[in-house]
Amino acid sequence: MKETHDSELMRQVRDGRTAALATLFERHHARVYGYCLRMTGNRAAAEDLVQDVFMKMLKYKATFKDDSELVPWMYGIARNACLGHLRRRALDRVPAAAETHQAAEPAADDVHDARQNELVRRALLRLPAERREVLVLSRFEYKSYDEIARVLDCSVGAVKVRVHRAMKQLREIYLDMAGEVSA
Amino acid sequence: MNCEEATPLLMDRLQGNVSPADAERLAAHLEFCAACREEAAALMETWTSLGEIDDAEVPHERLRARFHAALAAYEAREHSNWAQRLIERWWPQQPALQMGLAAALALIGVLIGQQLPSPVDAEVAALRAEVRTVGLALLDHQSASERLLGVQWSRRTAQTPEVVHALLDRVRYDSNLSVRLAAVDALRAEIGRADVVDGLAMALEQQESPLLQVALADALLSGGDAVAIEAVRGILERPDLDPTVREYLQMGLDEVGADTPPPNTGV
Repeated sequence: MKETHDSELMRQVRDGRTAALATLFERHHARVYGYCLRMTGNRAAAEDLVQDVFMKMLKYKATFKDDSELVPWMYGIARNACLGHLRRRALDRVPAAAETHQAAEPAADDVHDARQNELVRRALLRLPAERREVLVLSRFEYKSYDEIARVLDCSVGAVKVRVHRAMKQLREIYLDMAGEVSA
Repeated sequence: MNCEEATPLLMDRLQGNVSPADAERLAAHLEFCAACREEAAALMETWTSLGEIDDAEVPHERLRARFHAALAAYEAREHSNWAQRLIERWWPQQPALQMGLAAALALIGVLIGQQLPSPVDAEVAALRAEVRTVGLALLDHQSASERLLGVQWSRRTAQTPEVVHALLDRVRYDSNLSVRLAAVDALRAEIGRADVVDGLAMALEQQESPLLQVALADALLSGGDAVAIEAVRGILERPDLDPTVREYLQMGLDEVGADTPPPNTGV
């Protein structure tokens, strides 16, 4: 059976069939959670934000036009929710170690890799939110520059510039942190 | 090609999106430009490091449970807002007119009630049977969201033994936690029935999910039936019971005034 297209489902939600949102939730909640987690570095906040994003999709359903595409529209809502959260919590800096989403203790052989990954993760959280988001979208959400441009409502060229600057700053932060660790 | 032109191509290359012609031009530039070569290596290294961060584990069940609860609350709110808007739009503001309209509506209601022919009752009954059939079909659907819809449909109709049986099946065997929770919630309204209590008690013995254990125990204790209380006591004897669930159930038993035996934790 052919699956109903995301945008068509969202138009059904807009037109009053709110149950269609459950299908959209099944398709996209994991991605939205990943995005929110990378943006905030906090599991509990990411869970709250996923809820917030899907409820805002209902609240602002009237803004979804006949020619709108779901993914950029939904990520726009997720982006505003995350930036709002970061502003409110003044979390635009490294969260405490306990708040980060480091998983289980790594095996002995993987200790070096695990430390390096943790450094990269923490460096990512030290980036300003506006720079972090382009890396999260391009590297973790596998969005093309064209798709990111539609989410951020800017040109593809501007996205490439932002990603480039974010990568350079991330590298600087990472090298600083790696220096602090080894010192 | 100069260094300024090379940068966007380096960014495209990270996403594996460079045309053969551009790749050739970029390679030629990198061959003689040491600064861009260094930049390209640094970008690739950073890009690779980012890709090696472990994927986040997604708490699917918790997210689903919260989402479906919020969606149900939204739908209930919308429904009540719709009715309120309708009343506000048509209901007059002056007290005298309000009284007059209320009396007129009451009179019309009585007259219509007296005039209604009996076949309408048969049509309503047929419609209810149809709603029940649709609900039952949805409860067996392959998609979890359709099964959730089936649970909602089942609330709109009389809970015949067939509907109760189908809902109990969902509680016990559905693969989706949200469907199981919604079915428990739907059956809560029928907690006075012995078959519902027996079915939920049996489900409580089998379930491993703490959320579902709490929902089932809540539903069972809301009826105050002796079988229900016994079932909740029974699960307290399980050594692998989550400590938070254990504490919650003990509080629930205390609230309904049932003495709880000392928990056997097995350790």
